Amino acid sequence: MIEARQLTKSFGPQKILDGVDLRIESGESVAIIGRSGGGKSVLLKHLIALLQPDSGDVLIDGESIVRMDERQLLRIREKFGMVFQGAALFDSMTVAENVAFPLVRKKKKHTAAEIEKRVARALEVVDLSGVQKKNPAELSGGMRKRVGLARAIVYEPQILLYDEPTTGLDPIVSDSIDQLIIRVRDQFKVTSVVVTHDMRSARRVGNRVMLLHEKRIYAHGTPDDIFTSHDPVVRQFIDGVADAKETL
Amino acid sequence: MKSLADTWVGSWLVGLGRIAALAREATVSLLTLKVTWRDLLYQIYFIGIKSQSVVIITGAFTGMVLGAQTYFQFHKVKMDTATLAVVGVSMCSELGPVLTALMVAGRVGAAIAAEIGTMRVTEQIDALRTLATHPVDYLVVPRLLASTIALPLLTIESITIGIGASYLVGVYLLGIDPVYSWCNMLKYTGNIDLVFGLIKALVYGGIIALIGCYKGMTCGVGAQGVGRATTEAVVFSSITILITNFFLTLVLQRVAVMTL
Repeated sequence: MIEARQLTKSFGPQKILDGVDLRIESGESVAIIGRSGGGKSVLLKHLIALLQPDSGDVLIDGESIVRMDERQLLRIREKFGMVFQGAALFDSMTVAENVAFPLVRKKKKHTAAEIEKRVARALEVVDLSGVQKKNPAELSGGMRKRVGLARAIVYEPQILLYDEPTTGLDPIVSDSIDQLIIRVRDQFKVTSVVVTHDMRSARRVGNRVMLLHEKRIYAHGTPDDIFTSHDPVVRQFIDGVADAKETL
Repeated sequence: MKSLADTWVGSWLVGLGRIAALAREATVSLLTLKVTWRDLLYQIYFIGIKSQSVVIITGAFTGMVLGAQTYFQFHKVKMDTATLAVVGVSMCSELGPVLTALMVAGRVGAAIAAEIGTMRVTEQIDALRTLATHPVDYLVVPRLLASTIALPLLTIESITIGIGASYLVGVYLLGIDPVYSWCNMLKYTGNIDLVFGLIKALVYGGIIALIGCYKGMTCGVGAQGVGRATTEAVVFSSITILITNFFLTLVLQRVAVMTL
């Protein structure tokens, strides 16, 4: 279970999060929507302690991770997998080495044959069999995100975090990434947290949708609740209507 | 009025504290043997083997010019055969370690800062952390260990090449007596000079790797941030090496006087 309590974060004078509360149960699939630059990625990074809040708390399975040092966090992060906006593949390694990385670094040692088998299986799940020897630079944006997902699922984590998984991809590739997120969610029974501003994607991948607005969770509910809401703020975001002053 | 933390003195002190914290974290990681041998060997290859040409050229020409200049002065007082002794002492205790470290700081310090800085701006360091890998274990420790192993070896190479080149210039170009020169060099260059040089090289190896890693891990956003981190890594390493050299010379001399 993931819980955030009164999370506050500022970068210099600019406040990004102001008293964010959220609770995500094990096995849930939550889409966090909000405007670009609204603090969605910042919130996501707090859930895995890549960023530390100015105040407030984050609990993973009831354990506070806010005051943990980097070494203590290693144990907590073994529960997580994360897919980054830009994939964040290690560019000095091949695709196979990237996907194998978490297995090679694990305390529990795997044999070379076992690693090879698990890498091949993870790549098969993301429909990328046979690209093991390629370098990340040789891959398209969509392929890079798939490899990032393969790397995140190869060690079968309990929680998967996705940071803007469909940003910068064409609608067809975006659709395939959405299907992949759903497939991974159902196949591995993981808790998924997807940060996105792609409404179609949020509706498809989330069992629950949260809207981050004005530095806090403004609304949350099932996709149907959110997408049929009459609240003007929610409606404006769902319909993609800009304020008059913003269109100037 | 500006607080102390906002001044350049404040930021310099904060930087120094962070480098000390990084060194402490790296030491903890080293003591718990978290280093991966494959990464260490690659870094030794990159820092040691790939720096050969730079170190050989620096050592050779420093030795040659030092030999020639010393000869020009000593020749006036008929002390030609003391030339190689001066070159030997200078190369072993000062020029060998310092010039090797400065050249390696330019080549390796910049590369370390650029590589780690690029990893930071492309979220690869965050990815490491999400994959339950401590960035210090994976990025800093192999570089730190490799640099402290490679620098003394490169310094020995630089000293050997420098003295050899000086011998060739002195004997075959300037006409110094080879036997007397060689004997004088062995007589006046003590083992302690070489030990001083190697201790210094060890320290400089640590300085280059630590500052390079620190600048990379704390670099600003974008290409400009990486560029600035690279420049600062080279400048700060070089300045730190030169300042440390002065204090290290005084301390080592004092220790030598007390123990010998």
